[in-house]
Amino acid sequence: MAEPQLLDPHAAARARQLEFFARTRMEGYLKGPNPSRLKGQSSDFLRHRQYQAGDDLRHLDWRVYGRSDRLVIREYEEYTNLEVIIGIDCSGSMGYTNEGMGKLDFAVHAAAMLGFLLNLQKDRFGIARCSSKLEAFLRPSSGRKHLAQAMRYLASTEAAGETDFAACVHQLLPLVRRKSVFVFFSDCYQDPHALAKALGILRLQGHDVLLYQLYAQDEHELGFTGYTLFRDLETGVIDAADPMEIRAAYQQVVREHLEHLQAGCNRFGLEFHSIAVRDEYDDIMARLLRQRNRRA
Amino acid sequence: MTLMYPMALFGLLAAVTPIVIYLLLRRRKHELAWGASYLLRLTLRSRRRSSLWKQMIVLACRCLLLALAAVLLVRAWRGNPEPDLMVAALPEGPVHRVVLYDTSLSMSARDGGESSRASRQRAAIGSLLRTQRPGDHLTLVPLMEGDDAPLELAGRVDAAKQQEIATRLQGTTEGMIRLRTPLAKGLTALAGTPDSESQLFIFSDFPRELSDSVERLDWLGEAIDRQGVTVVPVDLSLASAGQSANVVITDLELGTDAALVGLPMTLYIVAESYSDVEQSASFEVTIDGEPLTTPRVAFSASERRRIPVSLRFDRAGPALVRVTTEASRLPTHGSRHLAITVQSSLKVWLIADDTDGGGESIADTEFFMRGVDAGREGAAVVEVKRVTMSEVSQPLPAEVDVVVLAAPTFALPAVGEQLEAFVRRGGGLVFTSSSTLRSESYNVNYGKLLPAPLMPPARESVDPAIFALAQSEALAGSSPLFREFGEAAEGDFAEVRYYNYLMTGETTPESGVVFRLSSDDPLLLVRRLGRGHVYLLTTTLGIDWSSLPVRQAHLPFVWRLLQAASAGRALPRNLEGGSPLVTRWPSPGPVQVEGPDGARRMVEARETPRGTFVESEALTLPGYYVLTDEKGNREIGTVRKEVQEGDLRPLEATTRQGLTAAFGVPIHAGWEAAVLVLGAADATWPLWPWIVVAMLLVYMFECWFVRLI
Repeated sequence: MAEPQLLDPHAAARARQLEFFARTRMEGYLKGPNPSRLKGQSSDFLRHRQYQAGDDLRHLDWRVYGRSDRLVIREYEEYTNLEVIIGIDCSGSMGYTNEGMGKLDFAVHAAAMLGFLLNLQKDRFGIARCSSKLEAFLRPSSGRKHLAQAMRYLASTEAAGETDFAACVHQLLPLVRRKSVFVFFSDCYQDPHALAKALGILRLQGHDVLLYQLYAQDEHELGFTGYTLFRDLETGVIDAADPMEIRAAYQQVVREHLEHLQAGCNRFGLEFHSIAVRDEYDDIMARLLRQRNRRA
Repeated sequence: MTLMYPMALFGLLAAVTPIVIYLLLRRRKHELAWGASYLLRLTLRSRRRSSLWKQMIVLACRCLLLALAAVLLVRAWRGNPEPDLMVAALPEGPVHRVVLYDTSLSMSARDGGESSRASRQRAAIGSLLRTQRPGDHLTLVPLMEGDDAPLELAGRVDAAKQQEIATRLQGTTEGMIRLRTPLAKGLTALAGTPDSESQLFIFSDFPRELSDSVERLDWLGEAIDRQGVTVVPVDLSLASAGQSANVVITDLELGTDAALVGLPMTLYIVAESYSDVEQSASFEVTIDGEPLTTPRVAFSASERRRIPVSLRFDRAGPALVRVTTEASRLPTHGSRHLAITVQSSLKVWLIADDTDGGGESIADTEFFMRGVDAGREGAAVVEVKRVTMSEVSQPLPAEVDVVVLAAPTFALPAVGEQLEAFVRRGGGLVFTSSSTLRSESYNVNYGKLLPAPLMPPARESVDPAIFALAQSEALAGSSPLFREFGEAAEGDFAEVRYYNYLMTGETTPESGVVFRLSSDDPLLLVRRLGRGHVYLLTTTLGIDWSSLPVRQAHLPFVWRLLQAASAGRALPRNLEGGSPLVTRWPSPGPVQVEGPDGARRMVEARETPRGTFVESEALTLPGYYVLTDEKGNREIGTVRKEVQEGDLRPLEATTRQGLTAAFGVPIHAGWEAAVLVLGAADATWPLWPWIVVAMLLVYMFECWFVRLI
């Protein structure tokens, strides 16, 4: 089962009450609850379409042919299991923590909870650690062994390096062969247009993409006093500033950054959520997944 | 700008606190591992260029805030360049102000300015009344004796009350102010409000006559210190008052209320200059409104002069002599009136030995008759009738004005009785001397008439080489009627030789010596008896004992002697205050009495056994009164005025120093000077509201600016 450090019983119990579906058609190996790109044998009628040469004659709707003398193919909905890639931004900036849970911790715990949920649903999930490049990739799979491996994988995640999510996505693309759901946990501290564009590529290739932007409350409020040297967790570069002096401007920049992210995600049909990191990661994830299910 | 707590200016050092903090923070900057450096750099990139001067602005704002806070603590006040010097500042707590005010006549003087001292006093007290607050007390105490009782006011004073008090302060009364009693009243009033701050205002022009009061104020300093009273003496006269011309006519001296038509008289204008520098004044003399003369007289500093003016009345009846001077600063002191009854004839009875058929006095009466007959053209008619002793032993007719006893040898008791009755009714009696006169008989029979008992002649016989002269000093200071004989301009009276004269004993209480000889023996004595006068000439009327009849002064002397003797025949016209005016009136009936204030009253002319008379009620207001009736009859009378407040000059330096020592503070020259010392109510504007507003504005700007950047 899951590593106790990453998924406590309470979170596991919450996960058991949740469901995770794809919003787009998936390409799974097994039967599952998610709509497949393939037209299957299920009893759920999907549509009629014009017969084309090569179509299996078994799928001809003879009743229609009898009534209208037209050859139409009767298609049924195919359900399959999911393949989910959980991407975790493990750049240095994700290591910021003031008090309580840090962004990376949150991401790891949330990924663990999501992985546990997917494993319960018999869905496949993989994990990608991203920074300025694809640091590591755990191929999608399912089962208890995979879950345990994934937990260890997550537990060993450390924040380091710079952020280049776009590069990471480009490296990730050839590793994913099926239509999957990409769930990213990142602070998105990079050019929002480049980020949205990179994720948009995933979306254009038929993947379902969720972007959870994680931030610590301090990072949006800049509620410090006194002249401060801000040491960049990614590069180590120090920026000196008086938080009181720049607070208003900083908050404006934050607002604009979020707006750009939201706009970019909207443009490519990505699901975007900005999450203030708190200790109650399970509550937050449960709320978000329920929202997603309701919208679906 | 005035600072209440200048030491708090050190608080300005606090203004550098933000700079120090800024530098310290710069030095003590702490490092923070930061995740959102991407966003931070985006922020800093847009601010990098202007952040330094913006920081400086913010720093300056914060420094300014602290500096303003320091100035707020300093309690800064800004001086008003044009404060209202009529309104004094009030203490913060309740105050009891006692105001000693002066309503003496001198307060009505204008010291060359538009406003009088009284109006300046009203303005000052008005400002005190207007600034009265709830919880404050104000007590008004008059400085004039017998004036109103102290007026106690508590809290605000409404407009009606202010007006009432202004009216109370408006009138002035001639009289002396006293400091001692009002000060005691004021301090007593202040003692009743121990919880209030005590202020004692003394408004007066502090006339020079106050010198007497200063010596009795030794107790004041101790009382003021004990009660903690702030004394504010205010001199409402201007400093230049002592340099201004101020000539006061203190009296008009004529010596009689009766005159004879055509007989020259000398009116003496007694005037005093209350000025510290030489001044000149012109005096306009009119008789019944017709200008007579306008002498201009120079006065040295503080000089009192007696200015002779020749008068001549051309018609019989009542005459009003008015003397005015433009140099008086108080109208009431620059004008005087004298009512004169001018007679057209004089009836004289002459009794001499020759009229009884003998004696040596023929020459005496001859010289007297020549003197009377030599009356000037247009002058009054003097009817001289020689009568015998037996005629005089009967009651004398009412029309007789003067009886001249030209030294008849003997005196008769019956004559003495009739003459006494005659004199008491106002008749004039003249005794002359001769060698044949029996002084013992005179003393016995005419003792009640003679100014002094007669004694034997000074010499047994006349020796031309031995004579006495009239004393020139005595002549100059004698009665106004005879004063002209002592002045050189009037001729040679002082050169008359008196070879012999009757010695006299001690004068009676109601008698006096008019002329005295160089031997110090009396030459002419006068005795007031009833309404009449008795004159005793200790020498002869003729040339037996003196050379007067051959001198130019003989004629005027005889006329003047007759006029002086007959002065009692006319009823008094120039009265002292409080006396009724009594005068003969042609016929009974209503008579209107018009006073100097224009007030008219009706009195009744009543018949009496001695004729018809009018008697007014007691007259008190100084000035002249005119009595008229429907038939056109007219009489005039005056009520004399005693000058009590002529000197309008400020206190002499020594007296002022004495008062300053008594008050413990100098006397302020005017209310404005006092306000300057007390502080004008709007002399300073508190700057703290402006500072608070400035702090607020700076703070708002700083907040806005910080938010902006």
